Amino acid sequence: MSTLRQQVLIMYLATSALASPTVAWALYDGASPARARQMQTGDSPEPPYASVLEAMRDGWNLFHMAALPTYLPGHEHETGHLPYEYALERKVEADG
Amino acid sequence: MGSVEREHLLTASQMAHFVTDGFLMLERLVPPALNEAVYADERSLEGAGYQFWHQSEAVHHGIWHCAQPNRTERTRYVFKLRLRPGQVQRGLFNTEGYDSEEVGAIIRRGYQRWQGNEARLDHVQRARLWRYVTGDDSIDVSFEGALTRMAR
Repeated sequence: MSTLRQQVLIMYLATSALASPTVAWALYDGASPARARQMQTGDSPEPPYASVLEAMRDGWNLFHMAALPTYLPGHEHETGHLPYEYALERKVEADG
Repeated sequence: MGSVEREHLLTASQMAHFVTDGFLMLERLVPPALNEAVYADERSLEGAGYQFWHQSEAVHHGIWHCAQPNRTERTRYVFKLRLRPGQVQRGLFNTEGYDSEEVGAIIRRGYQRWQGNEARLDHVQRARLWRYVTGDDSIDVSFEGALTRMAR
C-alpha cells in the first residue's frame, strides 16, 4: 500500500514572475505524524527556496497562481495582503 | 496631555521608526537587574504557572506577562498594547524636529524586502500615517512627493 502523503508549500514572491525573490512562505507537511510540530512563524529567516522556479527544480508542483492585483481608480496607493501567492505540492513517503 | 513633560514623550525620530516598522524596541525600559531577578525566579520556582505570581517577589504583572510557564531557556516575546481610544492619536509625541530632513529620511528609507513590487505603495502608506500622527496634513515624506502631486 502506498504511503505517499502530500506536502504543501505556499510562497509569496516579490513580483508576479516565478523567478522573482521569495518574501514569505509557509509549509504544511501532510507526511508528518499528528504529534509532529509543523513549521512555525519565525522558524527561519531564510526561505526554503529563493523563488518558485527554484522549488519547481527541486520537484515541487505548482497548483495555484494568484490573479494579478487590480488597482481601482482612487485606490492605487492602498496596500493589502501580499499579492503574489503561489501554492506548490509534492508527494513524499509518509514519516512514521 | 498638557501635564506630561516633553522629555517623557517619544521623540519625532522614535515615532518615525514606529510608523516605519510598526514597533519600537526600548531596551532599557525595564532595568536589567529586575529582568534577571524574574528570570531567576522562572527557572527556580516549581509548581503550576498560576502560582508564579504568589511565589515570585520580583515579578510585577504590569511589566512581565508570563501568566503561563515558559520555564525558559529564554525566547519569550509578548507584546502588550494599551490604547486610549477616547483621545485622537495626533501630535501626542514630542514633535520637535518632526519636519526635519533627518526624521523624514527614516520613513523614506523604510524599504523592506517583503514589500516586493508594492514597496512604493507601502512608502505612500507610511507617509500618510506620518501625516496622521504628526497632525500635519501637508507634510509629505512620500515617494517623490506622490501625496502632494496626486492631490493636485
